[in-house]
Amino acid sequence: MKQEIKLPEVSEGVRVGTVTSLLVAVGDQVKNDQTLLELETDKAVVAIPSPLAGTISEIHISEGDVVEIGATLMWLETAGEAAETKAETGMLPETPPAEEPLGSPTETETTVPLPPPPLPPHHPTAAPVDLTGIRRDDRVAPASPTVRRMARELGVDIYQVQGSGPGGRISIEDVRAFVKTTMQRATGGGITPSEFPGLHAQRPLPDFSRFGTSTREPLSRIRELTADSMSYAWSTIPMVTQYDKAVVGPVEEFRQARNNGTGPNGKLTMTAILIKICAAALRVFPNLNSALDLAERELLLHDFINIGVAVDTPDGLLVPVLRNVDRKGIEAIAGELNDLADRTRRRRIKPEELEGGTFTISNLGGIGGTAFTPIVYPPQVAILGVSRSEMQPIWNGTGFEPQLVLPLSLSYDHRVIDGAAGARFLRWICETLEQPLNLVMKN
Amino acid sequence: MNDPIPPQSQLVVIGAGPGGYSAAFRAAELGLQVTLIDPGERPGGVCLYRGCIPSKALLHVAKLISETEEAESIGVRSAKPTLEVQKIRAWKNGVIETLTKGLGGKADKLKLTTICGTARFKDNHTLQISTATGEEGQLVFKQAIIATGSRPVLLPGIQTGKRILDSTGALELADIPKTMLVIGGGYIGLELGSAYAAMGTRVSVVEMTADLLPGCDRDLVSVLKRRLDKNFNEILLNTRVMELKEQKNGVAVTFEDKKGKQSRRRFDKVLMAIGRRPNSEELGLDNTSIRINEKGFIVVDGRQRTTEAGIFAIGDIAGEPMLAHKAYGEAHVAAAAAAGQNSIFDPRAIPAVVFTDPEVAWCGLTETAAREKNLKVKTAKLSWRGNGRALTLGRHDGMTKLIVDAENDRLLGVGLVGPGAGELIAEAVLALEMAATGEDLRTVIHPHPTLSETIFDAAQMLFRG
Repeated sequence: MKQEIKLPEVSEGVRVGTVTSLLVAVGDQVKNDQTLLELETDKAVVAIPSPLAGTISEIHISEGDVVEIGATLMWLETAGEAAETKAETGMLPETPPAEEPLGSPTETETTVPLPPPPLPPHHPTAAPVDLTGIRRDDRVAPASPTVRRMARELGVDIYQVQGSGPGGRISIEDVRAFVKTTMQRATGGGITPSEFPGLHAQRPLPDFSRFGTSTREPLSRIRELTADSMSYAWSTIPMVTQYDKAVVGPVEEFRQARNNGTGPNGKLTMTAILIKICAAALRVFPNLNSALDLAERELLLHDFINIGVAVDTPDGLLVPVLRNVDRKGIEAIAGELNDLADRTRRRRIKPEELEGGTFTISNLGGIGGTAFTPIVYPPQVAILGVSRSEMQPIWNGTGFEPQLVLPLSLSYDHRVIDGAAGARFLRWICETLEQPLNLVMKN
Repeated sequence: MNDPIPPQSQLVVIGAGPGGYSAAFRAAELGLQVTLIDPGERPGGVCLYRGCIPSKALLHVAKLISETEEAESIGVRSAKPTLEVQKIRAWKNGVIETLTKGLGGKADKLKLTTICGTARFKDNHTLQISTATGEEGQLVFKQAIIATGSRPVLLPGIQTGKRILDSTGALELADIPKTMLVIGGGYIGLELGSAYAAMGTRVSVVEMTADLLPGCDRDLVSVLKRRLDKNFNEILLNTRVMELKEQKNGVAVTFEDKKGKQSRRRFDKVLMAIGRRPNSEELGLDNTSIRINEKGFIVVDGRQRTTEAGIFAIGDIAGEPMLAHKAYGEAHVAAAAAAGQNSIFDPRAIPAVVFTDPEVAWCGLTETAAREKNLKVKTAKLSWRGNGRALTLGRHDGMTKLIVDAENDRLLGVGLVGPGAGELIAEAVLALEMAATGEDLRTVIHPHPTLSETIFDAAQMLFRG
């Protein structure tokens, strides 16, 4: 529906104002509360927000105009019913009260600079305390001033603490318990929180100088985090690796034929094809697309399928994540993968592009090898290892045939996945590589 | 307040009202070297000179008069009180002097540099200062706290004079007029109107909206209104003042009611109490990056920091509610933050008290707000009719209301009306800050016989049925 926007009351006693800048044009999509124009009154320059979301259809004023309170500024084309209740009043809502903190520290911190090494979580930095949420007025955290002060000094957001007292009252003990469990989660239950949480179990090194000289080299940040993550995975996840192989001659033939006609960015890789097949396999075997919550005694089954791909960089291994791959075609996946891998190697990847994976593929085929045991990347529960394909004699019932064979290995969290399920999952992948029609049999 | 202008200061506090002086004192206690600037002779500001304190002095006079009158009905008869206006005024001013002298003494003891004058920002580290004695100078500061408060709003085109007063004029108590119109049914108008009414003025109150005391629950207001209807000559609701004309022997006022019907009346005096506005215009804020909002309040964050690094704002200038005790709270936060401490203004409740007779006081969530936000709450309303202490005071008009979370019994708000409600509300504020539940309130032993038992009894009601 079409909605008139009038100049609301901006300040007591102010009747008119001058439009100093017009910030929207006809056809612009505006959000609720988005600033439409700035008005200069004899007291101050005031931003006039849009009362509704919609598209600007007409503008009746221009910069420099003197406008009276109540005059029509513009017309807005709104969609949907949500906006209509507000629209009935015909006037703008009151501007927010003075107490709402503006210009708060968080506003400036939302953009992430790219150059520094992109890092996965597990990395508690001393971020400044966010003060913006303090005046949440309708449901306040039930804690006494002393408790709130202690939380503040520890950098704890009191709103995240679950109170154990009557009416959910938060005590000093509740804040302590919150800090304790948070620290345990951050350090993987370590005894002493340290900068290398995963390495806390390391024994002292022997005196190597007895045997010869060694040089010391600082660990890169990626190496530190890899060390942490891998020791955590190895020491907490009982893993099994399942091996299998697939005849990939026809798929490989298709792939190469296709690549002969395309540029480097449109290059189709075996990994891209495997991503699509794994996405389909994870739909058939949803338990492999999950996370284990032992504390709650629950398995989190993800509705989304985000597949990470291990990328070798000069500084170490990084795992960029392709999102919602089950909803993308192989061509789109291939393009996205090439871009992600390229930016990862050049260290131009954003931290959020390394997050959210639910399954990982590690393809060492380009280098060689016949098989390997990848390590599950927690909190995921499975990872697919890909080795180099090679011509092998395959018995076809009457004789040996030369076939291009791709060796695959699947490591999985045995707490979540039984051997039979792991074997079936990997078999499904192999069969689909051999008969891609499987991809569309179920959906 | 008569020190010379120092060339520089670690912390300068502009304005010596409740916010300014307590921020200056606190900061000095925390080890900062502080300069306090105010146009007044001594610290105190509106609260002491033109607000809380003088109005309470006049309301005390009002109370003595009405109690003498009421005493008749319980068998204590005395001659009708006569008022010596001059003596009342002198007593009131004496109270102010005692208090402001106390503050001045504390400022000296804490070795504050105090300047009697005004200040304007030249840039984000320099103030241009003009003292009351005509001296001009510049002061370079590391940090500053703005606490310049607010002033009464007047109707457009109207100026105060002999017959048209704002709250400041009314508190001066020049005389006791025969008739007075109070424009505005908020707490300032009702308090001052009550004081004048008790001293013998026929008071009319005119309010533009449908009821008195906006923001307060209607059931509390109605208890007050029952008594005000008796004490005031009339209360005109839904009525606008269209015109004020100061004449030789009165003020001619034109009203317009809801239906648009106009009428003209004459009053000896008119008191304008339609609100207050922050004093942010004369500070030279344009020379800094400090932002003010469309109502003229300085925009601050949870530490009371403005958008200019190192400059804080507290009290009325930093936003509603414009109350001295809110300023105290903010003052301590700003002073601690200026001294490098991790402080935040994060109260669970800021009590509001209207010092009429009966008093009205509330804190936390109001029932109206709970309904607007669709919160699941339980309320307990207890009339003071059954309270022993109220009856032995010769009163039975009063109500205590508790609002608790229906799910977990946690106290969310308290509303009180009755004599002494302003003192009683402190318990409710403490309870809210401590996240108390209805169970807590009904378990705590309250002294008998007191009005505070109404809180205890109301809490019991939450557990019936």
